[in-house]
Amino acid sequence: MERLFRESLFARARWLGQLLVFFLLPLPLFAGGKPATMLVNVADTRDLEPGITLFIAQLYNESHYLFALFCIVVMGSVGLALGLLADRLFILLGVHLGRLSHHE
Amino acid sequence: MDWMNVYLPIAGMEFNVGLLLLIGFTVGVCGGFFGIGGAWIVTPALNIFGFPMAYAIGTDLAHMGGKSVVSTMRHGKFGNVDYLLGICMIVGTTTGMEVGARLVMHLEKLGLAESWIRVAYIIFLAFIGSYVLYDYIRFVRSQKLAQSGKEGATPLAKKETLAQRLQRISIPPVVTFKASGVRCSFWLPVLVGFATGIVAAVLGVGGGFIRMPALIYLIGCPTLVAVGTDLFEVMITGAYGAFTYALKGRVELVAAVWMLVGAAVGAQMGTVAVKYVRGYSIRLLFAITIFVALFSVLAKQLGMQMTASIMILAAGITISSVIIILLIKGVVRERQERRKKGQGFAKGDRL
Repeated sequence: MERLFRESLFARARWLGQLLVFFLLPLPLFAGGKPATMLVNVADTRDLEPGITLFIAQLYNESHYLFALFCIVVMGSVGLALGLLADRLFILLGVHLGRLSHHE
Repeated sequence: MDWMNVYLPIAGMEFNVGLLLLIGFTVGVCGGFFGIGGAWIVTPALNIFGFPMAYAIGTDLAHMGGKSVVSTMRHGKFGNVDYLLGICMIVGTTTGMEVGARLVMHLEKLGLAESWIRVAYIIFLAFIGSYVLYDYIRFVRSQKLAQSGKEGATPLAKKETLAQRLQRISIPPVVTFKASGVRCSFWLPVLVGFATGIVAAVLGVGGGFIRMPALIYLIGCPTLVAVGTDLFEVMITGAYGAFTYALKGRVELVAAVWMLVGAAVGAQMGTVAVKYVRGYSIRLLFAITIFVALFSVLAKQLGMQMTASIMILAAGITISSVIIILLIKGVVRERQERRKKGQGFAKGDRL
């Protein structure tokens, strides 16, 4: 009983550790090389027609923070969607996409 | 070709979509196949075609994050990603990058940074390329000797490698990394990540091309797991890098999305291509790629900036073409095998 409790505690601690690694450690990751300095730029929206381009330009002008979040969400979801689509295409082509055995 | 131009609202200019797709596709194929981010191909390629350099790195990192999601997903399903090993490496890499950054600042104070780093980069690329190529030649010769059945011919796998010697150092906690089949001290991947982090920060690169051989030769991962695990790390660093650059207004999102469309297709093709290629063939192509990078840095050192950029782009296109040819051959062969057998898939058949 005590062993089970200790094991479950260890598993939880390990899980918490992994979460911390995920969220805290990347912070100094881009310390390498010269840091990017803030670019003072305003996207010109005067000639843009209503649509996605105008939305992106307005978001960029309003808040860089929201723009950064939007970038991550867009890139992650577009990557995921295209990945799943490409998976389907390969399956249609008759390519086996299961686990591979590793031999050199 | 004006009809192919797209307006980039943040950079405030028009840019050819075909070029963005081509650059993305090329780096996607190479990235999925070798497990690298490919910034060293993208930045000079964008430079050639007049993309504003203020946005080049941020845009590259943004597309890299998305592209690595595709590759990591695919490699994960192939069983090529060791997540626990990847996390241990990240712990070391982040710390190493911080130390490396401080070292660079110290060199800058001494006025040595520019010259020393360029020379160190050249020496480092020459060392990695030569070692991977030497290892490939050694493997091929040992295979031939073993096949010929000559006396004293020991297959390479039976000789103790540096990774096996390092795995024997059992400083607790000792961890089993299931996907890579490696059991070693937790500190081994952390220290290897730390060392590669220092080197990457000093050279001012993402470090994918350093980690991939390090995972093979120092930790003992199979080549495919090294590729997949490295991409997992590239995914996290790419996403974080894109976020910080976007915060500073340095990501041209429209360009990044177009590049990602090309890169996602390319990454999927590059990743599936590893299925038909032996681990050592990946190492050979990797060594060739490293030598191309070496020559381009040498050209840059000699003041031939444009030649260096063109060389990198041309080499990227050539290498990705080779990978696609290998993929097409593999798919055709697999379909033929299936037809012959009437059912099921031909597993493990590689070129």
